[in-house]
Amino acid sequence: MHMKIIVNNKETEVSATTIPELVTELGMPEKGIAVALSRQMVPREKWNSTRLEEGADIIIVKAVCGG
Amino acid sequence: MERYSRQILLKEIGEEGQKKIAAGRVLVVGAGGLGSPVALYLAAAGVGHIGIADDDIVSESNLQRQILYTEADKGLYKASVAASKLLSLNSNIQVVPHLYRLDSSNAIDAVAGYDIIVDCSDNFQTRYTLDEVCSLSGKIYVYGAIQGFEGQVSVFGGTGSSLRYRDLFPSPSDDVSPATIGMTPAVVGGVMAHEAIKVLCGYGEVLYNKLWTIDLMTMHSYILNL
Repeated sequence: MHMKIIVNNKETEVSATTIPELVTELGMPEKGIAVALSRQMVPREKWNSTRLEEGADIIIVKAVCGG
Repeated sequence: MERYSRQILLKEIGEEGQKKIAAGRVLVVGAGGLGSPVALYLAAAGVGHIGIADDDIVSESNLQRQILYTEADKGLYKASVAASKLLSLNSNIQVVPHLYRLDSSNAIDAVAGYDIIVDCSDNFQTRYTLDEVCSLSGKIYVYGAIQGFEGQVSVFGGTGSSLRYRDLFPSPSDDVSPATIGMTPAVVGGVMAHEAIKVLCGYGEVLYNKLWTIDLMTMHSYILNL
């Protein structure tokens, strides 16, 4: 089942219902990223238990190291 | 205090705030793309004691974004050049160059004389080391990083801020491309320097427990709660 969520300000149709599933579906590496739901960072230990619902507002931030 | 008159006019700073800025002891780690604007703005604002830690020398490919340096500086130690440039901008302050690479063996000593550490480094290892050392020694850790057109800033270690950089990113990214344009560190470095001034003076909403992000391609900017 597909649902519409917002990822980094873009409406995106996904079948993922958890953060790890979303990350995989988007083809992103699990390492070196942080994920926020409704502007609140979700700690890694809660990635599996956080359910993504229709309209969820997700921001994925990549760890960058440039100076 | 003619030099600082415009910022003293700000009610958030005033004469009292200027004294706090003058009493500030700030270590800038990395004198590159981020370190250049950070150090220049801190010196211009009158931060009384600035340390610059960098073991690198100025090279041709730095000049596109590292605005502390000119062609004549190629081959010279960045920290030394930076210190003399900052002193020529503001002779009322003290600037100390640290010409070594900060690592876990020397970081505790390096940060000892400072209240605020501004992380302008260019690698994950230094960032995790600074996170660790600032946490152990109770220093304010102003974190900022860039890549491409994107940047992010947070402030760790303040009262009420229990989270650390490693909580935000427990592991580094494999993508460490150095591609960027000078305006990215200009924007992000400006924000980092101002967070340091906010901490010194005690005004505004410091980015404790928050991550600020900016994408200069789309101009989308977020404040995320940690």
